[in-house]
Amino acid sequence: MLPRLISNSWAQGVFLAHPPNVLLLQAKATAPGLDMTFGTPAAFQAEDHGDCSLRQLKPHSLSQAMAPPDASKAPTELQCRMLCASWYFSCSLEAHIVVFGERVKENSEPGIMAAKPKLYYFHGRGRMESIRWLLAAAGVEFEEEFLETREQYEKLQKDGCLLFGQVPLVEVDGMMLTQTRAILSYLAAKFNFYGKDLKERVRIDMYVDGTLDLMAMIMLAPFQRPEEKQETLASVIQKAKARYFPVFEKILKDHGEDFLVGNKFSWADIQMLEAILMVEELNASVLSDFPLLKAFKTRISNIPTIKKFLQPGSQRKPPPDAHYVDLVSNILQF
Amino acid sequence: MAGKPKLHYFNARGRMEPIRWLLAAAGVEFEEQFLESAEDLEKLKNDGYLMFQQVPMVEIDGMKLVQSRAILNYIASKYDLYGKDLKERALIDMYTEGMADLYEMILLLPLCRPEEKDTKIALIQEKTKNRYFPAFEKVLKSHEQDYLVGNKLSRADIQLVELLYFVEELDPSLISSFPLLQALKTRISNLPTLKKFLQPGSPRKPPTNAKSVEEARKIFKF
Repeated sequence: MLPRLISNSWAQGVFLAHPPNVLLLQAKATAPGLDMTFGTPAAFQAEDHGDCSLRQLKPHSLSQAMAPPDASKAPTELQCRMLCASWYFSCSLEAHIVVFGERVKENSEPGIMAAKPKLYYFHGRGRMESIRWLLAAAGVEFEEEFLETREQYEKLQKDGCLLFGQVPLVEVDGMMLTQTRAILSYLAAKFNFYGKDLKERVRIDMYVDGTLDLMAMIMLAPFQRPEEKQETLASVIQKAKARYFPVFEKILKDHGEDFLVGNKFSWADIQMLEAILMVEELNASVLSDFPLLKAFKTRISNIPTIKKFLQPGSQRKPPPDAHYVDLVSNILQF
Repeated sequence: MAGKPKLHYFNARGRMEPIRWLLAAAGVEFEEQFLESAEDLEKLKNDGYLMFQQVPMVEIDGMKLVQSRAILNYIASKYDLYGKDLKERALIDMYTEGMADLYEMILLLPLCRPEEKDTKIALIQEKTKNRYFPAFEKVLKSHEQDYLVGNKLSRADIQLVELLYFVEELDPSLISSFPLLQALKTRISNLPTLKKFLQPGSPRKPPTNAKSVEEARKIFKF
């Protein structure tokens, strides 16, 4: 039985109040030690409403990202109840209205902060690293929750936060997004890193899919048996030099521009730099036959947000070591 | 005359089949050029048609597109099967990526060693029943609408139904405790364009058999 809350009228009031340039409304329940995405009290486990499952399955109804808000349309009772139920067991309530790049104070609640994206993963690169790169490149601060035990992981699963029971998970704009590419595509579009039209977008997609294929091989290698691992890493270098880098060198040569697509910094450039650095960690001279990629690497590395991310102390993660491999193997039980 | 999209692949499902489904569902006629030998593939590579030396490749709108996801994204956007805004697209992407993971397991089954086959099938059955089908059933249950996202047909519905047929060929019992998935399958199969695609004589390819696998090994040299 869902508790009725005063938040019905609150939610409605806030919804009607938001100005046209509001990008999202995100309600986040906080209480000391209780994160609604993580620590749903047992009493409410049985309820579908209020845990992560519905919030991730239905875009946060009160957020009209990318669509003009219709102030005359009040949220339905179900939408309010969805929101309300997830706040029920919290002690305090923060409402965030985020205007792209600015903070706007919401009158009724003190101490409002812009909601940062929150990343749930292991303390290592894996499938989350490309997402960290994208956020960092956009200059967007993000929080991280590191999975250190099997119990933490099972809790995320039980709370219904993981659509397919897997991480990476990114909580952003009121959604619990999983599946690496879905997250990357969303963020790329959100930060205007996805080209200006469909034709640019498909080129970016082709390029990033190529680099993701290459990086996926590198990512899997530490988890393979030693003989397989050597084979994989050799194959990565070979493919980088014969299949992938020549393509991008040619693209840069053909248009003579600073960026891969549309003469503008995009997701393709970010991925390319990430891939180059990863391959260089395996073989420092891998760019020796690719002068334009060398110049590209320097150029992109000097973009202020990227430069910052490349410095020590940033949220960039180190290459996987034996400890990381053990941790992940234990948590994912393989 | 605007050219029809042209699909370059060998005469089998493989990684091209979801693209065939999506074009068919959108009511788009397409041509197919089948690779029949290793030389055919070499020629495409030497002519510079394959960005990363791989197929699928689709010639469409003056471009030679590679990477199945990039191709599917393009077709879905072009034919308005990708949701109405960024958030719907994120949901569609999340769902279709999950579908792709399961699809990939079944796709690769014919290539695994005989002694591994039973284990792999059991794994597919387990993941289908415990991870993937429950997730999609829950989505449908949460909004009780006819389509997965935004109360409108999208690539997510088409790709899911393709997956449901794919799973059914492996084990028809797996869908039995998922009534909403069954209903979606019936409903989407009855859309005129897909109904036509599901009939004999359409570009839909038959299940992969040993002969197909041999052909693939020959052409792709693995």
